[in-house]
Amino acid sequence: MAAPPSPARRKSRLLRDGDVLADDVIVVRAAPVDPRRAIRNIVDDAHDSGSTYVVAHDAGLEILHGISVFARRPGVRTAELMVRFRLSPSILEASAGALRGGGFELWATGTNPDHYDVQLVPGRIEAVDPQATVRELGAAAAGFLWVAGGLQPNPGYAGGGVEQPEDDTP
Amino acid sequence: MNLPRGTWVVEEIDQATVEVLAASHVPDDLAVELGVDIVGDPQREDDDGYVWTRLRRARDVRHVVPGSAVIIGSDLGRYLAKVVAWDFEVSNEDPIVTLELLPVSVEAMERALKRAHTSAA
Repeated sequence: MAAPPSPARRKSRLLRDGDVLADDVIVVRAAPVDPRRAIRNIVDDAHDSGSTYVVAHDAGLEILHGISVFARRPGVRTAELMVRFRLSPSILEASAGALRGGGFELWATGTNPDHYDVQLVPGRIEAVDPQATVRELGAAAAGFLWVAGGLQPNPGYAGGGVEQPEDDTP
Repeated sequence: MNLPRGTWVVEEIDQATVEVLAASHVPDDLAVELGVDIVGDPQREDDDGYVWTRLRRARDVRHVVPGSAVIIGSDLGRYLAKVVAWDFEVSNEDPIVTLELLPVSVEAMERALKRAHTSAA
């Protein structure tokens, strides 16, 4: 079919009502090998999110400068949580409380019960405020890395992506 | 996992629309740098659990039409994926591209294809 006409606006992100992470729950995000690339990855994601999604709440439609993180539930190892991202050499992890203390908001987004967005630049209302600039997102990304205590090795890292034993046949 | 059949979500796209979008498309710098079909972070989930990115992040939009197998990439590595749909709700020119990660690595696929070519020779 041909492309339908578009109103050229952002989509409203699905929020899971009542899902508020306790302060002591750890959230994890896959990350590249070094801080420079980690910041580039975060800025890239948050910029795309900001041009795509809003979250609806009492103050209006807030631009979502979001980056994905996953809650590590009790009894779940980080390696299990990161199994889908086994090509990522590093992770970033922080407690929900530490992130809130650092000025970030956590939104329960989408249908995956472990998926959350960290709102890097809160309070920007669509049609009122501008989307955050790359510079602003870079500063926020650096703050996120600081709160997370820097990069840590991904315990589920497959080392170069060769993780299919059935394909080891010469 | 069912894709919502909203007004803007299309799982088939006509070639004329693809060519119109391709004519004005500028290859994404990072996609070119990484040698992937489209830039995408595998951990970025949409409301239905699919990975999402935007069409402007493609190297060539003709290669990322719904139904295509593609290599998505970012600083987190390269992943094999299937393009599920384009979602025009946010833009006519730069739709959201919805992707499903495939449970096999790019390297494993490359080795399998190499074996197939070797066997056929």
